[in-house]
Amino acid sequence: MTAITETGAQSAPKARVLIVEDTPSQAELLRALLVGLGHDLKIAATAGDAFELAKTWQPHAILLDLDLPDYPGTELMRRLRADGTDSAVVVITANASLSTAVDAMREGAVDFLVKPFNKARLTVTLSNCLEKRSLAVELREVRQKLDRTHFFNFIGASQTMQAVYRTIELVASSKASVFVTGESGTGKELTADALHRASPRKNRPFIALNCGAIPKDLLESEIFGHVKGAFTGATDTRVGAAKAADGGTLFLDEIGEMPLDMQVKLLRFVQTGTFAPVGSTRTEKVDVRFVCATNRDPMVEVAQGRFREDLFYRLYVIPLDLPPLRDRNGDVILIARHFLTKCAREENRQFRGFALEAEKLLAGYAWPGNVRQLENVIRNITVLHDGELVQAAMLPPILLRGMVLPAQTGPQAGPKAGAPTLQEASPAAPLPAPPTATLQEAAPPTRSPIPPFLPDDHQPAARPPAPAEIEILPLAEMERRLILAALDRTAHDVPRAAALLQVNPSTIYRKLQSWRDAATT
Amino acid sequence: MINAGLLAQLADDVTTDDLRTILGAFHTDMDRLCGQLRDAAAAGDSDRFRRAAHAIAGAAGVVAATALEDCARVAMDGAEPPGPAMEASAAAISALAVAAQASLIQYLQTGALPA
Repeated sequence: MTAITETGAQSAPKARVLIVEDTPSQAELLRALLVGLGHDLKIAATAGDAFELAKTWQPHAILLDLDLPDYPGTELMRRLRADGTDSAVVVITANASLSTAVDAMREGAVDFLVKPFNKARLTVTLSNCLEKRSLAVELREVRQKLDRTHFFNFIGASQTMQAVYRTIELVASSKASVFVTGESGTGKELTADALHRASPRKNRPFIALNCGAIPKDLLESEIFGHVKGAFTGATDTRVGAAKAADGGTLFLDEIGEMPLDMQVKLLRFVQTGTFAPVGSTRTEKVDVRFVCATNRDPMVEVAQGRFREDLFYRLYVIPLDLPPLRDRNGDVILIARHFLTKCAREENRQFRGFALEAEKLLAGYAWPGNVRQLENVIRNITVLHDGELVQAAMLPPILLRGMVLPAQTGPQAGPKAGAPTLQEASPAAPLPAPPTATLQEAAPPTRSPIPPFLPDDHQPAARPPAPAEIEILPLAEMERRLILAALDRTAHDVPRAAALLQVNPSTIYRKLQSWRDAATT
Repeated sequence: MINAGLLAQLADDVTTDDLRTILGAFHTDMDRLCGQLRDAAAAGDSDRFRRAAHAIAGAAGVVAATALEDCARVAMDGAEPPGPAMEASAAAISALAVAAQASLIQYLQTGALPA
């Protein structure tokens, strides 16, 4: 194998330039002509060495002799292109014919240099090709930023999401608190995660805490930790989220659910960066970046006295409102395909895509539960069906009827004006009439939203009694009531309900389908 | 033998040390490449002959050895069929290379090319 020579630059390197030349006198000439320009230079004497070096060193420019001992320079250009190397290639040739130039350009060369050449010609040619490459890279980066379909764990190519991506990038490096708002299922935790991973804190902890899911009595201990003996059951000292997130990011989800007394303690922590664990008088200081989220309208919460104004203005430094799925033009299909691939793999199904009619129905639905609802629907389909394409008939009935469920409660919830059908229903309004009269008759005046995969005959009349009033029923009926209660408790989020019941989500989907089947026979 | 104008251009473009390095590399290249050229000619291996001639032409172009470069280019175009003609071509190129080496050594020592 031919040795690779490295030469040092005289000043700070302007660019990495790889010389591919197997004749030492010619390689020496190129090195001698370029060394004064301050570029960082390396020499490869074979195409194979050049290929390896291009992959690891990623030169900005390659000066390439076409006649190499192992394989031709044109083949090297093909391999580099296939490998995704974006170096600008200048072919050096003794043959000044038009066909040589055309061939070189066809294989991806930016320019070609005919021997003999002097220093001025080489310098100008290299400078031009470096400038072309720089512009091409800049253009590609701009295009990538404008046309991204993925951003960290987000999927979405819509212009509304491009704006979200740009905002995240802009604010990630700051320590300023970010306040994320948006309907349930729009990706508030993904936003917090992306803010952390795009920030200089990315190698430090990201701690997420759902304020709405933690009992009030435990919230202070969860955030600030406690010392041994601080309260009954505190058998050991425990580090809280604030300490665990030191140097990193603390994500407080559903912050609107935080009790007012706890908000006072959080305010002090946000203001000073210090806190005292429960049961301790010693304060600790940490460096934490706050990201908060709520699906409520924070202004309304402040106006109605449920959220402290002083804390709000401490946290609401950079507001970031996530668009609902119905406002993300074209993203539904992109996300649906992603979930279909994922769910089909997990459920061992053959699905490869959606039939055109199914795509139309998916795209036309308003998705009040946003991405989470879409994921649930795709999971439902992959559990209950199989085939190469998802057909329209496989979609849950609510999509087939072209209806949209009532939006979630809360000022921000629900489709905005202009979206189909459901917008007209108030958040608390009952579902549109189901297809069978019997089922409708069973419905109470009001009920919580039921996702599209719920059996049509499930009505709150079947709600389970409180634990103290448990009556003995056939096991199948008990199971049914328990599953439906778990779904009610979790706002019909099947994976969360499954987690509560400690079963696989597929089990719930199958049960729902079997009840639906039973209701129609 | 050597194009004085082109050699002066090279001397202007690079440092004296680099010029010595380049001419030294040319000297070594010629010893190696002319050996490869003669071996290829003796074996009747047209492909190796063409490659060696190509490398000689390139190296000769670097140091403005125009007569050598021209002769090597004719050889690399495949004009000579394998056999005595190819061997004669290799011998002629080798002779020109030796002459070029001698001229360049004199240039390095005296700063002037042979008359």
